[in-house]
Amino acid sequence: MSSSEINVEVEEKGLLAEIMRYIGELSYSEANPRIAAQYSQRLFVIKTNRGYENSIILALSFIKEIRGRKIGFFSLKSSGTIKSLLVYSKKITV
Amino acid sequence: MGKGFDIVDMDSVDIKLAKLIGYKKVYTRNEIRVTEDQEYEGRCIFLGREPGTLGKALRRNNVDGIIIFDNELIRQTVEECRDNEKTLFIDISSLVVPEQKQRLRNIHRARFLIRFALRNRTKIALVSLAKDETGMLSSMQMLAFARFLGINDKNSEKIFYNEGMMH
Repeated sequence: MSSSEINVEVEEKGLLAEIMRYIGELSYSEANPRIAAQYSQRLFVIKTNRGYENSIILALSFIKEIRGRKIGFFSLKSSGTIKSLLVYSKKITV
Repeated sequence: MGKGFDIVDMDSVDIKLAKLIGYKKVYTRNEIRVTEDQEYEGRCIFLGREPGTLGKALRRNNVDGIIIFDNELIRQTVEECRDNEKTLFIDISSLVVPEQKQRLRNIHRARFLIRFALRNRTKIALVSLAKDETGMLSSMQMLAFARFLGINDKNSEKIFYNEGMMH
């Protein structure tokens, strides 16, 4: 979840570039993070390879700005399936 | 239900947001203040760099714990913190500063400090001390940070600031 509204389709490149900055190119290529879904203007899902979720969660903690725009990210839940995240997203109001 | 407490350097925090990101409560600066003022009488966390002033602060009842400036390892202070049953706070906001060199130095120092504190059985707590909403971290991110700073899985569950509870 982001601290303010974000269109991840537009900002995806910027966000992934910031993640790469923090986890490094080698880890990035192994983790292969990508935006899997966006449920609201602030809530979205980042999909990553198994075993790299902690690196992505940590990288998101460091990101405070994307292309000059001040923004923060909160990791709310991690799961093995996107379906369960969809169920979770319906329970919360963001 | 959230896992613990966080402390921020802001005047107010949205309660819904605090619950959503996994905390029981997020304390604002009106409730717990981070201060360098030795005469401050409200509930506070003392921030200092001198072992003498930190030691004095640890003996005061209104001080919940201390933050050592720049996460510098002062062995005597960490031991005093344990003896006075106060909490050694680790300020996460100093570990996510934009400047790379400073960030890496702070992370390295925090690791060193945490390792020493854990070995000495000093109560430690990670707090975000965020100045705005972008600086806040969810409880999940806090746990990831704890592991990153060298706290093992068994202890990482205890790194949240828990009022009145021994870690």
